[in-house]
Amino acid sequence: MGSGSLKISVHFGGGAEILFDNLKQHDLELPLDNGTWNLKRLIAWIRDNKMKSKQELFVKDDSVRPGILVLVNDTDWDLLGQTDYELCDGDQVHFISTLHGG
Amino acid sequence: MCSTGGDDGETLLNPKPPLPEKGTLCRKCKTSKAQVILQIKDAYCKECLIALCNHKFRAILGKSRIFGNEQKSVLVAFSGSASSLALLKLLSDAVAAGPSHRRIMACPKIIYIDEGALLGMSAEERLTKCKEILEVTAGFGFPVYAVPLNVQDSSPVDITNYEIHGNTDDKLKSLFESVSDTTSKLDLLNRLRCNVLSSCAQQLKTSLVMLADNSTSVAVKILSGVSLGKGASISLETGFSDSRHSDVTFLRPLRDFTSKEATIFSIFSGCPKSVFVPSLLTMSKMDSSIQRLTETFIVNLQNEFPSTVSTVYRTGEKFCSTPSNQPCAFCLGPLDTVHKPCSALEATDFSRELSTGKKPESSCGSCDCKNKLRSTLVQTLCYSCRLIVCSVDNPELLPSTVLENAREAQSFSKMKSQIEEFLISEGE
Repeated sequence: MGSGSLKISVHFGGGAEILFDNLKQHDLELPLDNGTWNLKRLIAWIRDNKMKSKQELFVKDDSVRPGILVLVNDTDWDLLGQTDYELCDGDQVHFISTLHGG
Repeated sequence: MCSTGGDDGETLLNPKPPLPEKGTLCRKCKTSKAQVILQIKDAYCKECLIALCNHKFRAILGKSRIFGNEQKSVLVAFSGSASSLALLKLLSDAVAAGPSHRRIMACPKIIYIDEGALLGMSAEERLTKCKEILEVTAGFGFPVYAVPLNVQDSSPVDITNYEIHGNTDDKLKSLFESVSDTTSKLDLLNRLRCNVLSSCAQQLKTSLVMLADNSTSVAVKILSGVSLGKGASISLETGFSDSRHSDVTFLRPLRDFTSKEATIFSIFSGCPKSVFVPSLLTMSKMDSSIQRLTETFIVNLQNEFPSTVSTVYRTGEKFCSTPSNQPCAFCLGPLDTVHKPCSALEATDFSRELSTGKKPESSCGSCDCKNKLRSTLVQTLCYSCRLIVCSVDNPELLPSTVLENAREAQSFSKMKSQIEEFLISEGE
């Protein structure tokens, strides 16, 4: 049983925003329950709740599609355990596509 | 494998090593907590990453000796992407640096090519994009120009005065609509972009153009170039400098930066957020074109084997171009279509003859076309440009500069064959 919610801010950049109604910033309130909110769960949640189509352009298996950078509070997710990182209240998560740039 | 490294083959086959522990310190200053990790094991904090990128950028330009003691004008091709922003920021900081910090004596001008006509964007949408581009580039303090992608030469104008003229877009749209496949469309688009940039550089009295190609896009270009028959010009299309266009040299100072490095730099150094400009590749299916397929292949492989991009890139650096007497009328690269015995071209033509069962009727050799303009045009083109031109239904829609170059080349070789017997050949 949980009370309250986990408030985080998700930002999309580098073109990824076109998959999310062209909205770059999404402020989310995730329900606190018995499960832990890690990035793996967040990505699946985004795929199921924020994407009507073209999920394969954002998600691959349990993670993001190769070519999409993930930063949490200005830190590379590779330094935070990637999908195992557990979200904290107030976290700023950035998903940035680096595909067809230049 | 012919490399100086040693165990490069093994590195490619080893999968990703385990991620570093949380709280790892920056490998350079060893005091701050690392915020980004590059190339598997190099962890840096924000300040050290910025310093590293600045140092690398200035070293590449300094080593090339392109910028001396006098200010040189340089046109920066800006597409709105994070790499373009990184290039602008790096150049801007290098120009403003003190003499003891390897200042680069450059006078940058920014140019944005409006390709909205190709994607059916409305005039309003295209002007909105221009506004977004201006918002993002204004802070750097350099003049910003805009030019529409066009078949005829257009003049670059100050981006605040940019206007859309519907009739000039029609020729461009007809040209692209007459191209049968996306692969050729993308190749054609790249050629047109280069020609537009070269023409704008000349009009703005600049002899240098900087492109924001990073190592990932260079690796994709190398591999897809091989698939598209561009062997003769890969080194020019992906090297640090490209002087095919007379009077204008194209530079790729970011080619040593991975896409992650360039993107993270643009974020950490406080650049404005990138502007997303739709292109032919946007939302396209993975198998819609060779370029897209190659990009997916390389990026996916890079995820599992982090030395993929650097291996392709380093192998591509070993390519070189053999100059020819006449440049290709389209890409101005070397002509690789002389039928030497045992050449790859001879083998390709032979296979085509065997599999289709007919000898090529026109001298084109690439298709069974009867179009007279096309068959004379292809004589003046390199192999990969022939493939593009053969996929265009109506070659009269091609840029006038290409058709002019072809006419000149034709009359030159006609004249040469007329006076051949009077020329002293190299053997004598």
